[in-house]
Amino acid sequence: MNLEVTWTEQMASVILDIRLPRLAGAFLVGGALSLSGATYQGLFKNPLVSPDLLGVSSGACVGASLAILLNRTSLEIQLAALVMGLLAVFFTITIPKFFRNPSNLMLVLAGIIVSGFMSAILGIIKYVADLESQLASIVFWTMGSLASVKGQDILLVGPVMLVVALILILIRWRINLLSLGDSEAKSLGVNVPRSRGLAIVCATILTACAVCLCGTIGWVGLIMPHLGRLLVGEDNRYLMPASALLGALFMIIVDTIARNLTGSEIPLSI
Amino acid sequence: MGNKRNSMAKRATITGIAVAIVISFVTCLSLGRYHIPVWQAAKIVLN
Repeated sequence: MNLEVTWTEQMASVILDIRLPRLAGAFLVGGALSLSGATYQGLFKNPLVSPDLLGVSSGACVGASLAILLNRTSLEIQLAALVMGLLAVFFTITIPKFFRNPSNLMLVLAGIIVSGFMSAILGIIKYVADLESQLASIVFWTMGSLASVKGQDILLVGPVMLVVALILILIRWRINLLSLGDSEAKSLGVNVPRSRGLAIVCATILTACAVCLCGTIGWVGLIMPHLGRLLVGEDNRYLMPASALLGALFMIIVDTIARNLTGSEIPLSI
Repeated sequence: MGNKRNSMAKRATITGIAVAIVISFVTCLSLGRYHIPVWQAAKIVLN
């Protein structure tokens, strides 16, 4: 649009270079965590499940911490977080196959094992990190913040997140069937392993992208689907879009409070 | 009839949340230590 310019260069710079990428990041991260939380809760038939169930957050923490330990750039830190997050989930999915037990319980137990293993590695990295600079950076990264999000990060990760979220929204009726149980879903004509695998992969990619953008942020992926359930009920056809939008709204408001409430910025996990 | 009304209410709720996102997005753009009026922030983004 060609509007009459009634603003200064400084105003345009503050909006376009700082606040717009940050709020776009908040929108994407909140929506992604909430949508993947709703997906996992539907798939595992457990309302206490959060998006980091399969170890993606702890894996991403290890990747980012390792990159900080090796003095890498912020882009390399984000990439390391993404790769290690996905690698952790790969280990989680491989363990049930190794024991030839593809049940949901085995998958959840494998997630707990991998999360514990990754937490142990994170402990080692913190132990050997330089106390003055690296340890502080690692701790700050694990608390989560959107302060360092730039326009190029959004352009890099945003399209992937939007496409994956769209896939999840399109298959939301299948998650309704999967939440009935494996045998019922199979009798209704659903290819259970394929549908469940697709939903898990999509939810995991969403979580990994969110964590690589802004570090680990708990709570959103667990609570927002519950708030969505209060508003629109259990049906995933309505619950998943409502959860995603509620998460995005919540994160936009929380990030604005976090950057304005005090003189210095409050990390988002707090 | 009841089901149709129910699903319409759910769709209206989702639309309401989407509208709330748009409003809060523009409002949050203007908030900060360097305050910019909401209409000015919206114009900068639209431009």
